[in-house]
Amino acid sequence: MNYIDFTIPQTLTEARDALKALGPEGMPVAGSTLHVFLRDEAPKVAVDLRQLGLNRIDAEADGFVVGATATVTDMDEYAAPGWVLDRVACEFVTQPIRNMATIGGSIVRVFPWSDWPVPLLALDAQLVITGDDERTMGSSEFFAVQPFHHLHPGDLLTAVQVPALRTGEGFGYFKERRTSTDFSRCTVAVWLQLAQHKIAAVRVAIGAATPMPRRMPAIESALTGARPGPDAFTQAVQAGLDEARWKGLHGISDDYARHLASVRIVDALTAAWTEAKGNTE
Amino acid sequence: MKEITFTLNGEVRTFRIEPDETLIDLLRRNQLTGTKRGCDTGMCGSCAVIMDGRAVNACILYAFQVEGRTIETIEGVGDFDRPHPLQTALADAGAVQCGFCTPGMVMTAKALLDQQPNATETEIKKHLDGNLCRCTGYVKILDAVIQCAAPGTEEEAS
Amino acid sequence: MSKRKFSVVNQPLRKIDAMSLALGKPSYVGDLKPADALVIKMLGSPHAHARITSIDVSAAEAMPGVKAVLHHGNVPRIVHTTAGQGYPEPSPYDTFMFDNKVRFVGDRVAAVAAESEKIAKAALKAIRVEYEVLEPVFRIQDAMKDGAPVIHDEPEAKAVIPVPYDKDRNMAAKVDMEIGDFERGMAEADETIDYPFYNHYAQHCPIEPHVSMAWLDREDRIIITTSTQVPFHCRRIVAQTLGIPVQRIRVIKPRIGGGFGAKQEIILEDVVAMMALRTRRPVYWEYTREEEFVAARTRHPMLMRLRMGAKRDGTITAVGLDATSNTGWNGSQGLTVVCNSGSKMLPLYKCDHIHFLGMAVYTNLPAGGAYRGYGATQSAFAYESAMDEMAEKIGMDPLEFRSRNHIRSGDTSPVFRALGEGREGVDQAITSCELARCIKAGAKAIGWRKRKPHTEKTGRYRRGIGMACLMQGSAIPEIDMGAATLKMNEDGSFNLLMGATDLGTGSDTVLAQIAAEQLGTRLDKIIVYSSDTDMTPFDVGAYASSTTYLSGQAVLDVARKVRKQILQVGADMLDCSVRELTIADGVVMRKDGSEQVTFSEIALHSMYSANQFQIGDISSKIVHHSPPPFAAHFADVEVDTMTGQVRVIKYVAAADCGTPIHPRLAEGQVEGAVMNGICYALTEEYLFNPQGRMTNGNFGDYKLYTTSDLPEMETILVPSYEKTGPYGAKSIAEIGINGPLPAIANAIYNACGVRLRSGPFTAEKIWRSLQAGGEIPFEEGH
Repeated sequence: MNYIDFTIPQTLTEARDALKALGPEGMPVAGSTLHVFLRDEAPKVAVDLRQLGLNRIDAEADGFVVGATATVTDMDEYAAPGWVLDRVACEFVTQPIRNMATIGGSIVRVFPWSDWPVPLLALDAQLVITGDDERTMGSSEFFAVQPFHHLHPGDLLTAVQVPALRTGEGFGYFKERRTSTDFSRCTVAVWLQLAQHKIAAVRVAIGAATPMPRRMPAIESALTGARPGPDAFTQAVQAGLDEARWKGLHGISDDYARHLASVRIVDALTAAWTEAKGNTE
Repeated sequence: MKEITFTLNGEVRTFRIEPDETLIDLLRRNQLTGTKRGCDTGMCGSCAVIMDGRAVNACILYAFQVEGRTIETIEGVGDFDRPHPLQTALADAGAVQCGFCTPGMVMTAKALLDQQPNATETEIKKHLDGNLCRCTGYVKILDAVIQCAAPGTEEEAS
Repeated sequence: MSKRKFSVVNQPLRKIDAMSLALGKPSYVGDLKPADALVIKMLGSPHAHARITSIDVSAAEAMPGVKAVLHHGNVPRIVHTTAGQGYPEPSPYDTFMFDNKVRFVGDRVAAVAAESEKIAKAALKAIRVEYEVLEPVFRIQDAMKDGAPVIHDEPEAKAVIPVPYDKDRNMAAKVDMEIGDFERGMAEADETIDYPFYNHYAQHCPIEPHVSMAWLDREDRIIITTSTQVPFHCRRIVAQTLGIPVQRIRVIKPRIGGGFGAKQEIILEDVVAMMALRTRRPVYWEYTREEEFVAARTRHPMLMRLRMGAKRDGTITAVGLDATSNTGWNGSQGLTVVCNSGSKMLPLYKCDHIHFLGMAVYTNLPAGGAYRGYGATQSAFAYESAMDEMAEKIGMDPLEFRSRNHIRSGDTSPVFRALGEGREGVDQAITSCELARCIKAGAKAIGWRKRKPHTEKTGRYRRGIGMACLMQGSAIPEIDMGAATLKMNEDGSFNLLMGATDLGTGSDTVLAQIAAEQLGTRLDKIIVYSSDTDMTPFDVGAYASSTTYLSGQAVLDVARKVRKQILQVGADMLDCSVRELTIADGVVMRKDGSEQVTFSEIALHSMYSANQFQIGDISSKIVHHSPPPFAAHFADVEVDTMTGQVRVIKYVAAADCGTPIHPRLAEGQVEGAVMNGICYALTEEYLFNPQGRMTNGNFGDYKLYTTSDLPEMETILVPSYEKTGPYGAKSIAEIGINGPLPAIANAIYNACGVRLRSGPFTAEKIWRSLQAGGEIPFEEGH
């Protein structure tokens, strides 16, 4: 990045004021791990967000509030009943990058291969944006466009609210890659709720094999109310695949991206179902 | 040019920096050349240093981002007369071939063992996954780090 | 194996530079950069094939902080090769410091030296270049077609040794050899096979990219400090390229951050030298990782055709190997790499009728160079895959088929004489071969006995076991020369000065062990200095698996001479004959134990007391043999038949390197090479866009394994005693990289019936092959 100056605000208000004053010249910075992907050479002023105390993870009544500058390692090391994001965190790039990258930075600008939007979509996370007032946005809306477009000058993504996994619920996550530290070719996350041996609710999200991370509503509706099982999963997935556009990344074909998704969505459904079955009172 | 102040290898230091200067550039132009540049994209770990107890890649971290923080580099870890047990173990295990990745390995492994002196093999493998080595195939590096993590051997090694 | 007891050799001592490197002491070129050095940046060609019709550097030159701009219009135009090989080089002369033609995306257009990297980069943007874009050619088959674009149409390009070279047809090298009557051998076979194979692009990925710096000393000599495997070739080639005497150049090699062959090439040194002359300032040039991928050197991709005939009893009646390499934009190492594809694999199995055709073809892609394995990696894939396929055809266990046919101690092969490096080879009989024991030990470690055919496997995840046998060489016989100087100091320590180039392998340690063993002293008494063209004697450098075997002989010889001198001085001091004396642990003593003098006393005596002289000497060695190390590799893999993803669960490498001078470092050579081979087999590849630009030249996209990906690795050193080598040693550095491609391919076949003939073995390729019932046709990469 072509930084011509930097500022390290100590409070959220200072940070917002700085960004508001700088307008398009201001660039919020936290982990700085994605800068190598930004080719923008326009001069910017860096506004470091890491002194604002936004790095906490707190358990609340029905879930967790993850501060925007919590690092992936923070999420990896965090443990509490119903917390599942450690499963995503531990498969994220490499240890030094996990130590540096923040949840906010990982989702405010989405790349096709971004890991984090996928589980957040499946868990129906809520994104907290602090502007002149604080607003909360659902993950489907948040990821429907490049998320930074939601942010007006002076707005900051300050937290992610993630529901806890409760009794009768399961979470499945697969990141398909060549090596442990590779970019994803296909990321799948499934949240599934069982009631009376049927699927009461399910959310299926996918990324990397599609141009942007997304939910798979046709698969979800086909499975809602159904009895879970390998055949049901396979049928629903096969029938629902066409609703997405498939795009192979890093040298794989679009066909294969689609095929990988079909396999891994079933795998993630199976994993979520297995967990939900075991996740009893 | 602006000034930043941080703790570097136990000493509070103030440096004048460029806003777009990375930490590795700051360190290397101040003769701390043990921190190596291998890829400049944060993917090889040769430039790993410890910031506030965790390993980070100095090639993608901007110098201004260490304001007020604590940084440890390989130069602060050991010397001929008092090598860190990891350095002794790596040297003795045959884990140092070309040695270019070694300082980064030491820093990443140290960050882990400082926090978890008895880290398991699985934890060690996971924590070193950001440090590329093209010479050793990692086998002897892991031997050395695992040996340092084995319960009870820390005192003997030092 | 000799029963001889060693005290320094064959001991797991600490590598002599291990601690300083682990401490992060300034060791590498980049650590030694003067604070006032100018930074060099290179403008790379945006086109794969174009003529520069005009270049305007005036704006760049006028920028504050810019000290010089070099381009084809203002430097000497002297044709040369970038290959760091002996003189005259077997590689064609087809390269200029700068040319008015660009031949790949990233080719040199103009270089800037400036006060900072930022200024240099800005200056590159200010250079105005107009190109006449020419039709590029990327594939081997296309480059060989009639009417294909001619990549080297300059009149100067030529071969400098008597070998076929036809630049008008993009042919950089050709070699054709037949032993016996190949067609007759095929006719005598019960079963024959005829299969194509393709080896893909890959890069060495030394963690330290290429880096060089230069300055003028007070006598106006050019001092080049560079990360090179070949300091002496570097000096010669830079002198040639600049048109200045060798005398005016000194090349210093500090520690190297990995080479693997990439640094057997003169890639940065001509420009840093030229810039030092132009600017009269220290200059520094370091490749970015992306430049390392594109503009350094690569493994030569090769198209192969492997034909084999065998009888049902397991006799191999004929082997035919056609290997055509894509040597890229220049012909560096093109001839010798393809020669080695034949010479390093074809002697492995006994066969009376052998045909080999090797060619190297120019294209507008990155240039191949020396890369660990050096052609044998490529042919091992074809040959060892074919061995499994033939074994299946004749209904024999692939291990038994190999065991019946492989070369043994006392055997020779006509291939040794027929095929050398760019010329005829040298006849040799195998004097040490423990391949049979390697096979046995490896088979046991992998559990070969429980191996079942793929037809008996079911389920989504399927395990498979595969193997490969390998050989390489130890130095280039009758060509390579190494020399060493040894002198004694007054405290009984020694300076060992060598042109041999430790590129991170630990050869400084290994050679010091050989010296210490022969001298009768401890390893820590040897002060090693390598390499510096002003200070150390000549050595060809670190390549062709030569250092332990070749430079080791020079060190052993000089240590013998110095030992004699020590004994003579000792005899003078003790007033007895040399025959009455023995040496142990730095002390010369009478065999009856009655009297002794220490090395230190001897050195002081020879320096100050009587008949003063410097105890010391120099030795040079060439070798007359190139004894092959042997290895048997085994892979145990699991294939997810739903996704095609393959995972290596366990890898066993059993290797015979003669006496391992330093067992731990020898194991390290195997482990590092195997890991590199596994990544080459499974993940490493170059992706190019249709214009010939590499699109994945970074470690995010081009994947090397990390600790998290590591399979269980078992290395078994099976010692033999190579009587021509120092203390029974032969080479170990390269052979290990050749195994994973065929062993894993064979394991994948054994798991799920998919036969892969081109790497890398990606999940998609395996999945598509499964869909197609076992095999899909492959495309030549690009």
